[in-house]
Amino acid sequence: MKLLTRKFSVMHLAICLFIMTYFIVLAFLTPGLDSMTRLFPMIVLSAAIPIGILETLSVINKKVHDFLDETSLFGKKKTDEDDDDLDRGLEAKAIIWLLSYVALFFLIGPLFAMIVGPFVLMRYLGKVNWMTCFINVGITWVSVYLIFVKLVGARLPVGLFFGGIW
Amino acid sequence: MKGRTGYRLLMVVLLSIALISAAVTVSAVSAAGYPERAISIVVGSSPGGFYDIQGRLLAEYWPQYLPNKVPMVVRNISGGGGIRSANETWIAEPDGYSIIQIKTGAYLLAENQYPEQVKFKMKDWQYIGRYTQDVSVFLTRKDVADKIKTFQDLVEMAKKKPLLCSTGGVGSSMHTNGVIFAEETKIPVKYVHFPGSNEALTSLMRREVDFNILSISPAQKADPKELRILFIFNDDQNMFTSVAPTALKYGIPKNVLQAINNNPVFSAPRALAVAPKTPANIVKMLRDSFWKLMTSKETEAAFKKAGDFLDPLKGEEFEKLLPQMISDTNKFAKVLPKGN
Amino acid sequence: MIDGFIGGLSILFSWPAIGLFLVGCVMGLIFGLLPGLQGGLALATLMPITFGMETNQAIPLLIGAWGASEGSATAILFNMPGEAENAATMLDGYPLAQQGRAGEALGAAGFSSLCGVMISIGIFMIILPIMRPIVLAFGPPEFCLLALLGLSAIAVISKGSLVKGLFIMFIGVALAFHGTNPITGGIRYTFGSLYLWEGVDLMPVLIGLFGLTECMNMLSHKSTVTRTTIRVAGGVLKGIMAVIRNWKLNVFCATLGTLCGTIPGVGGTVASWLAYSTGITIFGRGETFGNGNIKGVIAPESANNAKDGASLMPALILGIPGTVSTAILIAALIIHGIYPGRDLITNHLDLVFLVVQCLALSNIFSQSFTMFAGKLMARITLVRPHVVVPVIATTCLMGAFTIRNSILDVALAGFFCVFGYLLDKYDFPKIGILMGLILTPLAEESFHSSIQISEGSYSIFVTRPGSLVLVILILSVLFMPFILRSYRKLKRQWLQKSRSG
Repeated sequence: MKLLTRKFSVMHLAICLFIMTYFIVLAFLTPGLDSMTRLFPMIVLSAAIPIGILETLSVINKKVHDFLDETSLFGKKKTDEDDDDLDRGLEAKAIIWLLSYVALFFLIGPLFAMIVGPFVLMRYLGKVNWMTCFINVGITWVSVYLIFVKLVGARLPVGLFFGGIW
Repeated sequence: MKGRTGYRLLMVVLLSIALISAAVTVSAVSAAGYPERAISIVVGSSPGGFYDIQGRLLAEYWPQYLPNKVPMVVRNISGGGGIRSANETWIAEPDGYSIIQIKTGAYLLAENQYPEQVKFKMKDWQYIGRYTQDVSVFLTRKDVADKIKTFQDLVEMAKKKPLLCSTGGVGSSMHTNGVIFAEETKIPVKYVHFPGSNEALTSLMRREVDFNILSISPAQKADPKELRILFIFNDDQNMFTSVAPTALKYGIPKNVLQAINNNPVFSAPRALAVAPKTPANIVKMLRDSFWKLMTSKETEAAFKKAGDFLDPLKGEEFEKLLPQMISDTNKFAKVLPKGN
Repeated sequence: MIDGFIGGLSILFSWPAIGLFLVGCVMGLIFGLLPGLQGGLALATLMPITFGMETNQAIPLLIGAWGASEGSATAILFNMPGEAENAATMLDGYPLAQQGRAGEALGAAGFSSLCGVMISIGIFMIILPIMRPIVLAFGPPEFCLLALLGLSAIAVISKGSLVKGLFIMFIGVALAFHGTNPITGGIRYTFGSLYLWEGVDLMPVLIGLFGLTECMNMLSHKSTVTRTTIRVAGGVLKGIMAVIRNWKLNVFCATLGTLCGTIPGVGGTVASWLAYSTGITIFGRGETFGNGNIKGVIAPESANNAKDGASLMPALILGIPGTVSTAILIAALIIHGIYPGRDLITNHLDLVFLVVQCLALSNIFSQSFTMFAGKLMARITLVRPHVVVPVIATTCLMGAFTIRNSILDVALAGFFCVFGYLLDKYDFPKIGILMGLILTPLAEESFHSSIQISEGSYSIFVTRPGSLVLVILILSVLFMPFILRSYRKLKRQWLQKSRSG
């Protein structure tokens, strides 16, 4: 039987394999637990791995895909191919920006990150004018500080750059 | 144009650094000025729980005894059964602005059982004092209480079929109390674990289990239509006359009761402490103010109103009791089953 | 009873109680809108302030904050639920916003929530005397099966094939296994890290999968949230009328939410999902969901607010808090020397009514705000993403941090943002992850407790009447797609035959 009978995206396959790897790692660690603690994980992973294999096969094999599709009750979601509004360049920039923003939280601490991150997005990626940037960042920073730090009492880390620790 | 943009960006960054520096106070430890800002009482559980209420009561009434009368706030850091809060306070700046609420028995046990996870050393904290310890009770269903009038009745009942004890989870105080009780009295007990003490109590009301052992404060609030406090693990009848008979009056042998109560995991002293290298005069200031707090009528009334009570001990005296507590806990840790 | 009712009203409408109540409502509104800040946290933040107050002043402040915290607006406008129980609202609420019908969705959410809480308060009053046996009828076996029913329903109703739904749900289930199991005492898959000891927290995952992923979606598209040029203003009244037209669905879901709220430990998330899945199955036959069906907003919103009113029952009468918010409420009462239980009902009936009246009024306040500010809030969907996203992303990341005061939760949210975005691209129903994470602990812990109660016998799951009914329901739900598939195949064959015949 020919396996690769469907046009597929490498990223789609990669996601399935990533999830399968996660399940397999957990399955590998499960026998080391005591009997009651491993009961549920064993049951779940015993089902999850074959289902994962089926789902991975449905990505690359048309017959499997069509068979499984008939079990859907509520239809399919919209995918990228249907989305005319999506810009791949913007998409890549968005992902890089967000991951960098999260990294800034670690490196320079939330108080500074909350200024630098939004500024970069608005000014350099969105070409928003300076006044709007200042107002937006200023209001957001003050509101977040008042609510999260003063009212709720969150103690913010200072960031690795300033000698802080996690 | 590029130069102007770069200049603007530099101005933005410099301005924000200036603003933040003005907003955030980063001060060197200044013993002479202490305390200059709010002090945190670090609680190792979520808001609303038993320990959280106690922490909030302390935070409410303590500031008036401090110089500068700075406010005190509760910081909840849940995780690892309270270990995370202790770990974080242990490695925090030893400036006297973080006071950890210590569940002595639980932390001693954790230090013994999970040395890889625990960063602190119980004997090395600088203790401000103990504010209370548990008085536990044997709580059971009304129909069971009607059948077992004495300790001997309880022993006979357990011989026919092991008693079922509900707990708030493996390693919880309800579980360790049950294990200590079973070990010392030699009564056969099986455990049914739930993800919290409320669920454990509800299970008792649903008649799925026979008893549990918990602190007197939550036990007194249990529905008297369904549940009864059979006896109190305390030999001071004067303290809780209206609640239930003491264990001695119920028929538990004196040496057994002493062994149970002397176990620090059972008596669960609740203490307050600061990190090891906190300056000595800050520790003294906190200890003095703590003692004034403990001996005030207002504090006693507030705790009583919340259905709790104070059983204070000075920090220096508490530290003297620690070596025995550590030794007793290490002995107990060997008999505590890991898991059910 | 009447004296108690009037007593409660006279306390609430006195000064400064009414002022404090309004302050609490405003605070609750803010907390509800911000991810990571929930009603329970609003209560915890306000509790110390109430120490010096009279009980009559403390209760309006606290209940005002709790009742007014409402997370449906962000679920509809930004696909980001303010609280976990609003996750079901996103499925149809956000597509409505994308179609330019945000106002209608907000109106429907607000009005159905209001109706839900009123219905549950009404039921509360009626069944107060007989509440005890209802609360105590549900034990660990029923909880376990209820959670499994929820998981089965999610896998089936998710978009795409059943296998896809299960595949994604298993991720959530596996995530829930990390950490300490309080029932067995086992510590699983922590890789030596204390961070994982308490397991993977729900909120950073929720924030990442939905809030931050939606930020990515907004930035990746050339237009705003509203992908059309249809007018977004107005429609609130249309949403209210939709709730009135679908009154049977509203009442059904409110009753279901009330039942879930009465049972401690079930929670609003289970209530909203059960209401969504059963509500649309019974009242939405032949209709599509997940693309902007107003019934898909009415069902969960009605249930999750009805749960609030009902959760007061076990909390005030038995002293058993079913949720974090009611746990904090009980703590606040205790600090003021008021103990839940018979004492409260017998000697402080006016306080019981005060709590109920505050809850009702705070819901009126917050839902009116949602409905009438909906027109204004809906306009946010027209703002350029590069202006809106920094605000949303910042509050999301701060919210993720504040939950456990842990910077690693921020990293977790970031990871799930990228992961969730990729899942969206390839048609994976990521809501299954959320439900797996929420329902698995309930299922597993209840399972083990049941086995401990029965001392090793599995028959406890079929010998109790409630459990047996739930087992049958689970099997029906799981086999429904295959039955449906066979039915469709047979129907096709029959049609072909009749055409050729």
